[in-house]
Amino acid sequence: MRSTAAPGVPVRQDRRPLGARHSRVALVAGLGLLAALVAWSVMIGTGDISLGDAVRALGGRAASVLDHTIVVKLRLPRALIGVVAGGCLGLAGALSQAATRNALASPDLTGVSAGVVLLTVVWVGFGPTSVYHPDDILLSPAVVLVGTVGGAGAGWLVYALSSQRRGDPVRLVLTGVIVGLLLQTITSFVLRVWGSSATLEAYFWFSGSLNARVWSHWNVIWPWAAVIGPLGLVGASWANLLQLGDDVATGLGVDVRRSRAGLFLVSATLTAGALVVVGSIGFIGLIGPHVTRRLVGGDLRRVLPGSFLCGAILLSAADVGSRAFTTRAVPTGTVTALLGAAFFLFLLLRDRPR
Amino acid sequence: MLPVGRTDRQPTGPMGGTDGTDGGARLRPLSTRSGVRRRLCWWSAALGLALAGVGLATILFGIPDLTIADLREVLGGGGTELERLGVYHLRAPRFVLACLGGAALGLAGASMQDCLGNPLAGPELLGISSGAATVAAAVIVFNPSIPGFAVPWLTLAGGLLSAVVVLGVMARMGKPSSSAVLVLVGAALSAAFGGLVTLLSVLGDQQDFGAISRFLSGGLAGIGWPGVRRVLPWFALGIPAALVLGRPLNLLQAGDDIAESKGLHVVRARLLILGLGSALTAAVVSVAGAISFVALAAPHVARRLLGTNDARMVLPVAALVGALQLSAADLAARLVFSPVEVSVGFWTALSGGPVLLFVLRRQVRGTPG
Repeated sequence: MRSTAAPGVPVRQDRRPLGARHSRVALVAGLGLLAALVAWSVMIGTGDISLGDAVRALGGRAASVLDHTIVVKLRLPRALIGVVAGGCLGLAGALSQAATRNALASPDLTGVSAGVVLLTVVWVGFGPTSVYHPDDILLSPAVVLVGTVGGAGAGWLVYALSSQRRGDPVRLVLTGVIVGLLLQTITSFVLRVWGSSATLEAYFWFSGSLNARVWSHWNVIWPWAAVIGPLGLVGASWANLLQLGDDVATGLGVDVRRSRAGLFLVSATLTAGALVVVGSIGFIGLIGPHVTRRLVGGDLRRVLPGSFLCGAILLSAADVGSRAFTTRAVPTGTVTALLGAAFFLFLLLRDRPR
Repeated sequence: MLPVGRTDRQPTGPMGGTDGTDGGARLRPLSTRSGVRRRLCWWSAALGLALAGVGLATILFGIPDLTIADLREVLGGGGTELERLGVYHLRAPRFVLACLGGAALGLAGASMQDCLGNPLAGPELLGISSGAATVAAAVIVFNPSIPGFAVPWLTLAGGLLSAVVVLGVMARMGKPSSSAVLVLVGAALSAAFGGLVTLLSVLGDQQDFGAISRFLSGGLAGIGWPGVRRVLPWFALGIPAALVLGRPLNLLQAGDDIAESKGLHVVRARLLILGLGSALTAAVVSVAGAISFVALAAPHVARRLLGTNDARMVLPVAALVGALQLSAADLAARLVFSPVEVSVGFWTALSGGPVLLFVLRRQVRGTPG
């Protein structure tokens, strides 16, 4: 039988996952941490606001109009978008890792992110839309659908190029990296040849940040997460069977190829939803599931919701951190990329074959 | 380890030798040495001819288009001001730079692939290009008052940072590090550098952003003789140095044990070769930006054309293929969407990407797993 993953990139069976009770503790702790991060996110920034003032502003009894504007119109949506987008990315990563049985598969490594960016930039440039301003275009639900098509298309392309009789996990990621590079090149080509200020701004948008995300963006992402997220979560027990290996799963009556493709599609869809709103923020989809697995073990019924929570915490923390500890506005995407790359290398080295 | 029966075949082992892959199935089997030499001659001649053709087209076409008669007039000292400017100061340096840069990238890719025993090793997948490009972007944004000749040194520092990380991971993983791991390390490095570039483009103004994005996709526009002169020493030293690496690369292909027993200091050789590859890449990046899919694809094309992995023959042909690919891509970048100039990186990706996916299709099968 095939091992769970290729050498060098195994899904590591962690030594001592928490028991059911401790998982519950971890869940509560995670939720508490997330709440604290959201509160902090509302408080800090240009013009710090005390927790009391913030709560009063949320209750509609703000001390001043300025406080109300800052808290309710600017910081709260930003914090909530961070939570949901991070959650979507974490869940998407966990799903694609489950689908490919590869601990290193995540939207950025399987070409999905690059596909979302490419098609959205093309859509903003040439789409049948009368709206001029790119911010508004990016807010229309159609863009999320287009992004999904791009992400799923790229994911499918990678999947098709890499699949043989049975999908080979290593090849999937290798193909994904190369296809991602190709798609990025095509994106910059599109920008170069037909680049308008709209496409350029769309491209800027995708550099990954939570700056200037307001309620209208929230209105794009929450329905998406509310519909697609549960779809991913119900796939958990199915995905669990896939983890036993193709042969066993087939023996248990799972249509391996189809369920793998399904998980992959849901993952791409979630990625597109998050990316269209917050831009391509990398590595959340990689780190979230890893930390979660370390805490709760390999059972996907726990890993999938846990990854949502963990992704939400990670993105919120990156956003709060980039605002709290730097004087200039460091893009959140930069923070996640740097920390994520370090974590990624750490994972590779830790799992070295002995 | 290499099966014993294979060492007496060609002077080389299979590509991706340290993977334990079966390289023999991938190539035309057991070509005789004289056959390979004949192919080397023929293909070198053919590629040289094609390169000359592309060169002529580069000089002739564009705005304004020239005829052969016009060109003869220009070379004779006649022609209009515009024609002379186009030929001598715009098109000629571009072609020279495309040839030298393409050859440098082809050699960098070929030497890295053999030296790491990994057919997917190339400066763009190992993060070396993006490291160099990030430094170049920083130079654009912060615009420090440094002389032009120092820029390649700075980009080299960025590229070497990635190379050191890759080597460090290799050293820690032990010998049989699979292709996947190296490429993933490179992907992580590229992502980290991408994050830094995002930061840089936020710090810079709108104009910087344009310059940075042009740099990331690579392009030969508007470089001219000053740019060529800036990197000429690098190519003049680096290209010949890479061309004579055939023997150590062959030994490294055969496996570390065999290489050691033949008196090659494996670690030192690997460091030097990777450093040289990084230097060639950094020189290209410092003037033309991160051009991808030349270094990755050209060596594979060369190996297929020759039907051998013998680095002594692959290296010159890889250089020629790289030169041809980059100069043809540059020609396409200028002409196809004229008057808009498309980044040369798009055309190299279009030509090199499929080659790479093809290689991947055959190669990954051999990765243990």
